[in-house]
Amino acid sequence: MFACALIGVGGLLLGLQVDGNGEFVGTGFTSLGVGALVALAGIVFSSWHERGAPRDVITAFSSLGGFLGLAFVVSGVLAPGGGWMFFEVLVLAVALSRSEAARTALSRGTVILLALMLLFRLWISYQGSQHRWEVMSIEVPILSSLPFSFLAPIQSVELGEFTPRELGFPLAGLAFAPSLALWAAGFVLSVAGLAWRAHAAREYENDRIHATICELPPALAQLVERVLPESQWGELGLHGLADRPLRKRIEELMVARIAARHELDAALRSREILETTNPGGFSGEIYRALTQGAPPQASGARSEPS
Amino acid sequence: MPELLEKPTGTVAALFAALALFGASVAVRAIDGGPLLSPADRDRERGAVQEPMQLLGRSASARVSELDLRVNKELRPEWMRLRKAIFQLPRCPRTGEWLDSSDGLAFERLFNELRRGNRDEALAGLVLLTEVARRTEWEPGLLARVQDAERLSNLQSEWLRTWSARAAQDAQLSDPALATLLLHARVERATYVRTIGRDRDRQERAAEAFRRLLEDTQGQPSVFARALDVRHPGLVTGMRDRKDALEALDTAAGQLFPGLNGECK
Repeated sequence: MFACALIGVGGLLLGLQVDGNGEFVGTGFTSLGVGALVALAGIVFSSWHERGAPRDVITAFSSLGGFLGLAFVVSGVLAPGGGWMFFEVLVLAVALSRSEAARTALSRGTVILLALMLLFRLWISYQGSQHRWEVMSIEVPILSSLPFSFLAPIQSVELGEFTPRELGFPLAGLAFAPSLALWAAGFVLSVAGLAWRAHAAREYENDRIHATICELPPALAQLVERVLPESQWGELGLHGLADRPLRKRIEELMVARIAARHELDAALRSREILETTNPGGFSGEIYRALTQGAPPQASGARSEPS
Repeated sequence: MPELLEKPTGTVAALFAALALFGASVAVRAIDGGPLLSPADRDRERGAVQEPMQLLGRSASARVSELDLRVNKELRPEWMRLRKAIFQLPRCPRTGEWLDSSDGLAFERLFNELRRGNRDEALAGLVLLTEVARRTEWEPGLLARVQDAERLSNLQSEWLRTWSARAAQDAQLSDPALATLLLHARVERATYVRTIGRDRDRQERAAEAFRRLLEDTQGQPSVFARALDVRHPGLVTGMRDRKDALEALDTAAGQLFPGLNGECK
């Protein structure tokens, strides 16, 4: 719940900017809508094979917090409009679909990608606040040094031009410094909230699975937790299962693991496995004689004197 | 929901706080910025000078006497004498020569007194300065006599340094201050644009001086720059786009003060 509150504060900061009059202005619904779409696509594709679903108020609220947190973060780092935004949407949709969003919220690589996109957004906002409407301007050597104003259009090359409308600037212009502080703080709080929420959700599920196992007699429960260690519960698909499927899954896993353990024990006890360690030659024959008795009779071989 | 009641109070409170924050996070995005208003568009203040830009125009002589009562009593006699002298200046003298005359020296003293006064007196000083720019010759010509333009530019620069930030939020002074900025750019360009080429050092110094007027300490547009952008959209961007940052302002000054080009025409 506290993680969700943190996500809420982050989303609040990411939804605001400060205009030239020093007043708070919203960042609009376009970027939030696109962010929600990307977050939804990311969550759906990354958890395609997951069977878990929210079962109670806490897990449902946690899932809502995870979705909104992702939507806030994505909308906070996207360029506010134009061609840049759609390129970023594509990149983020692929990145979020590949990451294990359902289990780990955001992987380290995804966080780095989001941080880089936030930096890009801050850069173009800075350029816009300086009334420079391009990502960067490169001066053409020699031409740029000539003092003729009619050459101005070809003295520099503008890369990545955009307009104030695309940036979603307030009418009174953007006060860059306070807006930067709001967005950076919002991003950090949202990402921290998402990570905290994912950790808390994992703990919550582990507690529930542990409680289910503890319904068994204590010695048996201890055995089950040794065969199915807690660190593997997520990978084994126990997280998010409803009570009955959870029990059935634990039964299945126990049957499979115990059977595998029996097979292994049988194999280890068999003398045949020692054959594989026989080095051969003189010492190998002696070794075989000691472990398996007389070798098979070969033609022409002398029998042992009585 | 019933299981919620079994949770600790802190958890339930955090849940409702998070719900409220989620709602607020979405709702704040709808906050719209205020309307785009120039300071001159605000409600008229009682006692403010009506249409102050008329006092900087060609027909300022018809209204300039309105300012008599707004000038400090101690300065009023000198103000009245000098405004008559300036508005009836004959023969278009060189600016430097006139400033060195007895009237010119008195004008400089009065101008500085008015500049340090209240906003009515600041406007009165600006009216005189603009009229001096109109009725004296500061165009350098082929011989590049830039001293006249430099002296006029220095007076404008002092006024802008004192009043630009305050004027940007003042309904009475914002338009005259912005107009003076444009005219200042025109006069300043006269000091470095030569018939062939230009004085690069002087140009860089002028660009730096304008940057100080239009940027705050963090390199962001100052309040004055924002007022300029509201009143003359595109000019600030125009300054960024050109190698000679003042060229865009000079062009705008040509439209605002037709014929005021230092040649008394």
